[in-house]
Amino acid sequence: MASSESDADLCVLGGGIAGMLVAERALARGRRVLIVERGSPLTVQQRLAQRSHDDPLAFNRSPHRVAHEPPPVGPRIRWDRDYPYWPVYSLGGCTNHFFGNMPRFHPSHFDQPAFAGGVARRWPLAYAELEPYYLEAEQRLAIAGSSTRPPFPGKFAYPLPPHRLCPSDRACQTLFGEQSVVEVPSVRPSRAVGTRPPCCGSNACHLCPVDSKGTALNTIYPQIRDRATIETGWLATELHCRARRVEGVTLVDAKGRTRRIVARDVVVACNGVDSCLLLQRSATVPKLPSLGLYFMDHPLIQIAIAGTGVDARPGYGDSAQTGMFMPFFERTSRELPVSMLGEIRSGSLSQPSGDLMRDLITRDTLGDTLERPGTGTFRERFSDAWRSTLDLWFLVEPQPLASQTLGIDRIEPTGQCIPKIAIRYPTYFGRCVTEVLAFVRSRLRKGTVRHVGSIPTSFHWLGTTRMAATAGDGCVDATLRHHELENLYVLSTSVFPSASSANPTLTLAALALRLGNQLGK
Amino acid sequence: MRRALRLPIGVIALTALLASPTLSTSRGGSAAPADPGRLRACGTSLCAGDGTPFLWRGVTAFRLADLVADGRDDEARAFVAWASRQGFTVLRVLAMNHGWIDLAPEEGRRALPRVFALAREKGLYVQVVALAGTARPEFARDAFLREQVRAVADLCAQAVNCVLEIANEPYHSTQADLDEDSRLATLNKEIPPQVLAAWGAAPPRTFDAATGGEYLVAHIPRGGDRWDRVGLVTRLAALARESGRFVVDNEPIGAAERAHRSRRDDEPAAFFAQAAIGGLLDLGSTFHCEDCLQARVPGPVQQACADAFITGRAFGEARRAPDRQPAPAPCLSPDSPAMMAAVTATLNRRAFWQSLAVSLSAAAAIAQPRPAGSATAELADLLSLRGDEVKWLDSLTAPQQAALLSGLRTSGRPSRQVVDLLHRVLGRRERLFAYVGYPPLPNRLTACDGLIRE
Repeated sequence: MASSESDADLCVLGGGIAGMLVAERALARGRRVLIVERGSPLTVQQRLAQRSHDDPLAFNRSPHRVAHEPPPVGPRIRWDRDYPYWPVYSLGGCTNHFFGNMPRFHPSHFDQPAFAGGVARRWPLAYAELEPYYLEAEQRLAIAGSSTRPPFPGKFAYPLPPHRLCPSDRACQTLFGEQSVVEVPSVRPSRAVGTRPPCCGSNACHLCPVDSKGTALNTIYPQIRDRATIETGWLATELHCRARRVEGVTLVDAKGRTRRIVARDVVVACNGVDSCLLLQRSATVPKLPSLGLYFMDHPLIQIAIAGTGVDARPGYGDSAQTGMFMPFFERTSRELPVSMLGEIRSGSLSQPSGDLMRDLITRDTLGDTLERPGTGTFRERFSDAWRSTLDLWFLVEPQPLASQTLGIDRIEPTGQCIPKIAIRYPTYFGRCVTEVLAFVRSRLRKGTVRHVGSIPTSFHWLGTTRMAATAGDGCVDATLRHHELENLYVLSTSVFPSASSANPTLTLAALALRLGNQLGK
Repeated sequence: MRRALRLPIGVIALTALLASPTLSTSRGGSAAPADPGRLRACGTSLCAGDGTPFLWRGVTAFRLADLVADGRDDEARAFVAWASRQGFTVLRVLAMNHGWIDLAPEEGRRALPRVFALAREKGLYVQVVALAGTARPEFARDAFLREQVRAVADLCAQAVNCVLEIANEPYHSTQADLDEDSRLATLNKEIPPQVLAAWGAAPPRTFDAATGGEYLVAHIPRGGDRWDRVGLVTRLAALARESGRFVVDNEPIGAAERAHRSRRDDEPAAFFAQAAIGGLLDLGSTFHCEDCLQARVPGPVQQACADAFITGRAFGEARRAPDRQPAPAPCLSPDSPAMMAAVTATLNRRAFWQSLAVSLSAAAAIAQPRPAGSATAELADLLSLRGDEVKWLDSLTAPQQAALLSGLRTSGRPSRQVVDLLHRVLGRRERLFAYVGYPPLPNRLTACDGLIRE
């Protein structure tokens, strides 16, 4: 094995948004930083040309499909037997691919008591401690959001104005009250930021055709690429620990060559699954009791509202999604023990196979229109019916259970670790569906509500190296330092002790800035 | 009235049949759209970046880049202003040439950004011809051809208002051996995906054969009888239907101050009829003239032909499907009595109406390709499919169309099969966000369109 002594103070494993933010902050404080990224430095143009985020390196195979139980209630749809683990392995990570919603967690979500027989934990830090970093992250990432009508009281100072609520959002306000909908904070810019044009609303955020959406690659990378050492195409396969310290990291490249690097501090900033897997596959890393347990993801409830007579004009808006549906966001506001965040889809993505959400709604509407003849042509009747449909998704807060685990299924000859995931729909999922449907029905004067289907994942992987006050409860402490290794930090969504129902990226970004300050001292 | 009575009865009937209620209400606008965005193919039509149908009223402006390269900016600006006032929407410009224009490739490339800017000021698009006059040894090399196409296409990609034509008449003796599909296909690979490109026209005898590219350009033969030639435009509609691509009547016989058999014409009625058919059949039409070659404001006869051409386009566009209303012609509205009087005063009335009778009859036949009474026709009627939308039914086989028709005639809750078949027809995926102002990603998939195209 080749050995290379790094002169870095800080080695960050993972070149996604968290890794880049912590690196930027540490660089600003004079630290010498090495970033190791397993993926390739694919440019936007290259990804557009190949029409995907696929990374060419052999150890970056994605996606993986894991057998999964169908949802406990409701119709069966695509993915009802699949749990797709679908990471994006290229420089910039999942921000290249994500949808860009950047809400904060509700303050109550940091203070979860045990619920429903689960073992949810309070976070070892309060919302108030993280709020300054939320503000910083929102500035740094140029989030568009409403500072005058935020989702809950607190300090909000979004650098960009919010996207205008789209017709579907306004239809929700008509049906459920103005306060039921707020503008979603988003990294899709509402006006030009540098060379990035405002969001085109073409609903192609997964492969933004104009690179408008803020990503690690177009926002942070340009600021650090000349100041940090960035090694791409190297997969970290093992952390070597001795005397409560990480002494080295083994890396392998796509040709099978290995090398070992050292640094004063090591930050594991891989994604929410691979961070845990790296700790698990490293023989000398202490295996704390919670490692690999409490795996969480946000399952989705999809409902369709039809025949309301309100013109929702699906497919029209300033951006791919502009409104958040709030009635279930604050956990204590409803009977259920969990939070749900509603997304009002203004025109969902679809596929030629035609089996995604909007297709299912379209099919229902076609069937209804054929069944109920009325005045006007078929086309007129269908268009009228279709325009009054609403497409709502609810992210359900998952329960952190020890029985939900993440482990190593196998390690490929390339070095890629294939995960084994055991996760179920929460026991309260059926009640969540009932609650949502009842709430919506109670406020509709006419029209119908249907549970269109459920999906087990929002591609939010959380909880398996969780943050806790003691090594008995978690893997890292409130500063994200490993409980038994004084120079190892974990910076990924795997440190979240509970999941909220909000998209996790902004909270991760805030944690990254906080850790960057700490490591820069 | 007396004049009208002397017209053939078929002409009167046809004119009444094709009359559109919009004729009496449409008005000329003041200017082209400020910035409708990059053009893209929408089936057999073109769409602007903002999703609106684009109406191709082209005009030859071969020398425009050469004028700019020579520092004759005022002349270039004057021609662009004329084209804009006239109501044209596209300028056809050579990026290089050797012969009657000597424009070195590097000079042409340097001039193109300025050409794009001049056109954009007036809301016009530029159809750049990357390769012309390439028969010289220094140009007839693969490396040069690739480099020229790549460089011009890159410039085109940087300008919102540009589409590409790889080669002017690839088969022509002034060109390198370009009329091989494999060679053009290789050159096509140099073009970024956001740039709409045609390969070039097919030879005269096969002018209505499909060549490569995202849209097609066709050069109608200029010989023979004037009205037969005008009637050939209808064959381009068949080409569009068969190829599924937008077709431009790209370089018809040109106007000149004096007619020259098989080369130039001075009869405005022929230009009116040619453009009217193009407008009616959703083709692109380009006006070609002697002075336009030089990017020079044309003389009086050519001007009359240009007026007739634009009026004919507007006449045809106004009679298309209701969801494809014409863009306003800045100075020439077909329903303006003063305009019609001005145009018809210059026309040979008899030839004018004869040409209309012949060519619009042919056009009307082309516009209704589906036999009445077939399952396809009945489905199209039941689903209110209009114009190109009828082609959506092609996604079903004949038995599937029969099954769908049967299902639609049956009352009660439709079967899953019927809904699936209906979804397949109507669930088209072509995003038409009205507010998108950026280059579209080809084949991006969203859910809302198809039947619900707004």
